[in-house]
Amino acid sequence: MEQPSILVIDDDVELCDLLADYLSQEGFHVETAHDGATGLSRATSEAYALVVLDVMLPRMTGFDVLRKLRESSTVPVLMLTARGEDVDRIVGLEMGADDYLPKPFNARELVARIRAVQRRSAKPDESAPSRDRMAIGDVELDVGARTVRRAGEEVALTSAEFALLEVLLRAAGRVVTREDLCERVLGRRFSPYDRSIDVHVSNLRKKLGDDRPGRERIKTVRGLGYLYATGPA
Amino acid sequence: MRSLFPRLLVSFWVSLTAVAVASTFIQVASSPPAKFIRRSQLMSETLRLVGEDAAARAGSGDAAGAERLIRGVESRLGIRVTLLVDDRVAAGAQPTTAMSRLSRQQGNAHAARSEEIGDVEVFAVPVPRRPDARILAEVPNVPRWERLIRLETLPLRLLVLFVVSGLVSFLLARYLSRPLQVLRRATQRLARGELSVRVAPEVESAGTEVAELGRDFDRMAERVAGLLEAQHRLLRDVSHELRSPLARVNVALELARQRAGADASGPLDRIERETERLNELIGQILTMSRLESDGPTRSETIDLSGVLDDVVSNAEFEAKGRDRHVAIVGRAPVSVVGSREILHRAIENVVRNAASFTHQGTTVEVRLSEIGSNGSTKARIEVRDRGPGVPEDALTEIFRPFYRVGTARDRLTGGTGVGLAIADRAVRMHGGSVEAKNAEGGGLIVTIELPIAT
Repeated sequence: MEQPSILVIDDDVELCDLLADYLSQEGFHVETAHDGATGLSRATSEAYALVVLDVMLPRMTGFDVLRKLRESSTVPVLMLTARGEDVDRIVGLEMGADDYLPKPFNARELVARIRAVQRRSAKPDESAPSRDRMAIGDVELDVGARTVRRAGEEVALTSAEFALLEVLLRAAGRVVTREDLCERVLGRRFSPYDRSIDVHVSNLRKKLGDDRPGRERIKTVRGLGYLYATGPA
Repeated sequence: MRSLFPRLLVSFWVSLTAVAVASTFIQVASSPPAKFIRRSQLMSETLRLVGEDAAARAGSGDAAGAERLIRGVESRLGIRVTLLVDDRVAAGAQPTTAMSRLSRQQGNAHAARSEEIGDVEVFAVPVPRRPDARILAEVPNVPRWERLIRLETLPLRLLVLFVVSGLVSFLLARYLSRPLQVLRRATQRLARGELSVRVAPEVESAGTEVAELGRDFDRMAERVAGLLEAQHRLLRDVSHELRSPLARVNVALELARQRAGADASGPLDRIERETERLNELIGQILTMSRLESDGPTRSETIDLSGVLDDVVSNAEFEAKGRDRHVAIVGRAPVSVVGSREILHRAIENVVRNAASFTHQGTTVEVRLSEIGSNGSTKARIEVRDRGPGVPEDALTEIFRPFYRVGTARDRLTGGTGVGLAIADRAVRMHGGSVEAKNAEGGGLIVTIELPIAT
């Protein structure tokens, strides 16, 4: 099986080398770029399984790269944010990053996140394709083709948003806890103070729009989690 | 009177009034009685004319006419008049002793005489062309000081003096005390940490010394701000620069794990724990220095009750694994304005701190209430733990970065020593205050107060 290819965009050359070394041991093929512009052109011209993007890049920041990248691509992006800059990670997620990791990070944690992102963006096997189409109201989700349509029009979702919608749709009408969502969507244990799921939900709401004026498709159940509303209420 | 302004005002006022009164007395005591001389001459002339007329009537046998004339003058002017012919009373009243004495003193001189005796003035005036006749008069006299002070207008003049000197004193006192008040307020603001405060433009007009003092103050404030800024920048830069090597260490550590045998995992775990602790510390320092340098980045209306729910449920999640609990025991629907992120972190730090110090099996109680009457209502968050508390003299110190009450215990709970300092700065940035006190029956109560959104 071909090694998944990962692009690391970080201006710290030595760190990139170490990462390439480490990740190749974990079974990934790593390419590196040391500034935003190069990184962006590589990320848009070649097909990577995942992009690891540092927020703090000279000249063109990680946010700029992400914004430009999202104009044309839904490649999974893992942001490396600065510790102590909590706003960064929220902004990153809001702009369409799939996940984030505060830098300096634990390398095993990085691998775990990469694997989690991979798992949910990997196409499932071809068996039982009919069961893997879900439709509630005007929203239609095709697990096999990894597409989401709303009123017939395709909505571009990141892998995290897609996975989140899938879990919510499967459990439509029932409350899914944040802990549950974190484990099933992001592939990691929910930790307190982690707002990732909330940001992804908020992005998803924006992309899908209201069910009907003034009614959210995804409802917040305070202190518990979220639920996808079914039928008229 | 502790304040400068009223003291200056009163002393100016008193001294101005004293000067005015004293100068009046000096004037009364020393000035020549100019009007008085004129009055005496006028009186002498009048008496001479009356005497001439009366003596003429008496000489022509009209004694009754002379008497009428004299009595008329007496009653009209309110004085006592006597016409003497050959030293006998020809008309008018009997002369008083003072009048007789003056008459004797005058003898046969041709000049009129007058003399002040007590509260009367007596006149002896020869009658022209009648060497045998003379007219005497006794005129009630107003004392000299009384005439100068003029009792009838005294209240009005005193009022004018009072008002004018008061006004002058007020202006003078304000002129002198205002720059000092400006400086005092500026000093207080500087002490509260407003390092941008400057006074020179405000006190520039107040005279050389004060203006110079204002400029000195500004230089001092600038220097203090510069030093603090440099200190923060150094801390921030060092922390920033530590990140890159730490990131590399983390990756290198895992590489080492990949290659090393199982017996190396103990030390490697240790390295990992220590770098994680460094990471945490750096993050906290950076957060704190950002709070010190910038104001709140976002301003939104924040439902405190919701923030507390979040914080408490997360803290409970963490604490229950260690057989400790965190619960909301009271709440009120209050909102404040500011940065949700920063306030969240401030409250979180206080709650986490409480959760880490509370004894096993106990519950940290969090209470949200609204205090104060209309106009100055505040939101109050009380966080009470059931831990060992803090020595009384350290109650304010615990909000200082890296302050530790007891090193050993802090190590066990894994605090970085910056959490409460961050909370304190974050809350102050929102115009609130944080206080700690020991609770009756053990444990610490940390109280956060924030102005309520209107």
